[in-house]
Amino acid sequence: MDADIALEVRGVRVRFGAVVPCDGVDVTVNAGEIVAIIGPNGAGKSTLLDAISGFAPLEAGSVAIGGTDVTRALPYRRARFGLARSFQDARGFANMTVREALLGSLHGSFRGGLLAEGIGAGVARDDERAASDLIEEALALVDVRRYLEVRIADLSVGTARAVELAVLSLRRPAVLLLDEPASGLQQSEVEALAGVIERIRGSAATLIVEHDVPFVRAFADRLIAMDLGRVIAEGSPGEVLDHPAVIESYLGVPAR
Amino acid sequence: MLVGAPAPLNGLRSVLATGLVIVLLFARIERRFVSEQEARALEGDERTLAGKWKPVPLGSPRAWLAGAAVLGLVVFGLSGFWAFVAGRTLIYALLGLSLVILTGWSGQVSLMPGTFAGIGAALAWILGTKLGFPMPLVLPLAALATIPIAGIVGVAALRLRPLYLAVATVAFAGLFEETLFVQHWFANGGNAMSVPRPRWIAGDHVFGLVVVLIVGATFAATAAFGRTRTGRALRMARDNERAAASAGVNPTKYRLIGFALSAAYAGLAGALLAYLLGTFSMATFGFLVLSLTVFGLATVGGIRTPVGALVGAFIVVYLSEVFRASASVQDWVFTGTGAAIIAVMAYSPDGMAGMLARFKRRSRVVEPPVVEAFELAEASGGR
Repeated sequence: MDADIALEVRGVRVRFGAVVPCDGVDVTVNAGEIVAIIGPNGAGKSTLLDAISGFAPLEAGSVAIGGTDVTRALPYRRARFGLARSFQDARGFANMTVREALLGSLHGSFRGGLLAEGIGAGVARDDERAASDLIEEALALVDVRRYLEVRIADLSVGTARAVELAVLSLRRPAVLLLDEPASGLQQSEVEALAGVIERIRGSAATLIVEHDVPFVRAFADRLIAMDLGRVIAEGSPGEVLDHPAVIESYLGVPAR
Repeated sequence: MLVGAPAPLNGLRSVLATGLVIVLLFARIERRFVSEQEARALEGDERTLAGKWKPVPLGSPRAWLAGAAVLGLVVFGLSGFWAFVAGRTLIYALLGLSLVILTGWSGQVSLMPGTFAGIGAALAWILGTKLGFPMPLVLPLAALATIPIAGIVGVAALRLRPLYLAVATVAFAGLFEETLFVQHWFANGGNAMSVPRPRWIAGDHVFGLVVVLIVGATFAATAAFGRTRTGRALRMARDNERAAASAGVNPTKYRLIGFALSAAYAGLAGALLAYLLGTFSMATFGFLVLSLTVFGLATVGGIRTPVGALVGAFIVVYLSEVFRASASVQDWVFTGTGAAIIAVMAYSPDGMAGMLARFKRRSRVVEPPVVEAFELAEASGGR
């Protein structure tokens, strides 16, 4: 279709033995767009993120990032095509400091190899300097400056989440996947988080899986409702939330 | 262990050691319960990070080289015997360093450092004595030649979780010991092998200096790449495989790099040890004795930091030689080392080096609500 499509998921089916958590899911996210996937537990939302990022094997379907087919690419390869994702547990790199995690996020942008690093060659130093400069940019988005030398395991859940967002935005991803970014946060933190996601919007196509419907409603351009491994409704937040199938899947009774 | 088999413990000492283990483990359980269940609640909103884990500094490459220069001078002040002991200590520190990379940074457990050191030593005999290569060529070749061997073991074993990997490496170590290490062409059939030092560095002092410089340079290079891309990628793959892959790090590749690098360090250490000893047999490189000794010293010193390998080697090799004069004191040193391993595992993941660093600087970071981190950035203009 048009060149603005950043993420295109076609007919994705994932099977774990007899269970099929995703069955023929189509999702398209344009550059600069924020799309939220809602649905009850077991709807297949997180499995879909795993399928897009390469952690769940596809039985059928395809995934394309920026027009490039990555269906068969390993997770670390997809990162180089501009895919970034968060994880629900926000555990991150527990035994590394915040600064290390930020620098590590830029792994793919370095040119020097092990030998250059070992002998302290100029190319390795330039890499590190460039990375340190980029960190300042990420700190303008999420200010975790005071934790730079703190180990991630020592941070509270909320701060670890803020660090994760800083780490992800640092890479300037073309496609950003967020797995329940609001879980474990206090209400005031959730409201502030919405502002951060708005600011990341920029050029990235953002796909958010989230339970907290009022939260995503505030900034999502589109909602996709899933249940039992299928998309049951898609459209503007108002349309989707009023859709009879969505009400039924949440309340467990047919809408009248 | 290193300097002969430890004397069997007498009854009283066994009871004391066991009691100590139990006390330490209980103390640890108690402490964890209090710190995590209650501390946050007691402290309310002002969540503090006081007295928490701090990374032990890697030390700059320049500092390591400067340290090696100073140590080189010290070696000349020692008697010939102690210069030999110092050289041996540093070679064990190099073996410890191979575990810092493998276990500390890469999160893998292997009982093969002794095996790879044995391969390095045998290669020193083949290349140096049988083929007559000069030492400056033998050392790098011995280190490099272990890499493909580690690669074969690694590809076979690296998909295993740490505990199973450890078991698999025991099997591989046993296999090497039973097959390769008894070959006549490879290890002189398990008999004594002689690897004479080059004439220009034959003296214990001069050779001690050579060891100091080689080991110092290796530590400096390790500190350099440990703080940059490769070191970080190793630790990312260790901490969270999925998140590392999402950041563009290939976890399998870096685990293999960690395994191969650590083998190369052990190979270099083995070749150096061959030259230091002059005459040795493969019995010196049994995985049970050598690998476990190295594991012990790296754990006591601090398995996440190169400083730890140095501290551990000093305690286990140098100090035990100091106490060698008195057999009973030496036994206590062995008992103490065992107790220290348990204490360190219970209290300080960064070993003695970590304990020292923690006493030195205790910082206090007050953690404000996350909202502040989000909104401060907004106030400063965002992107």
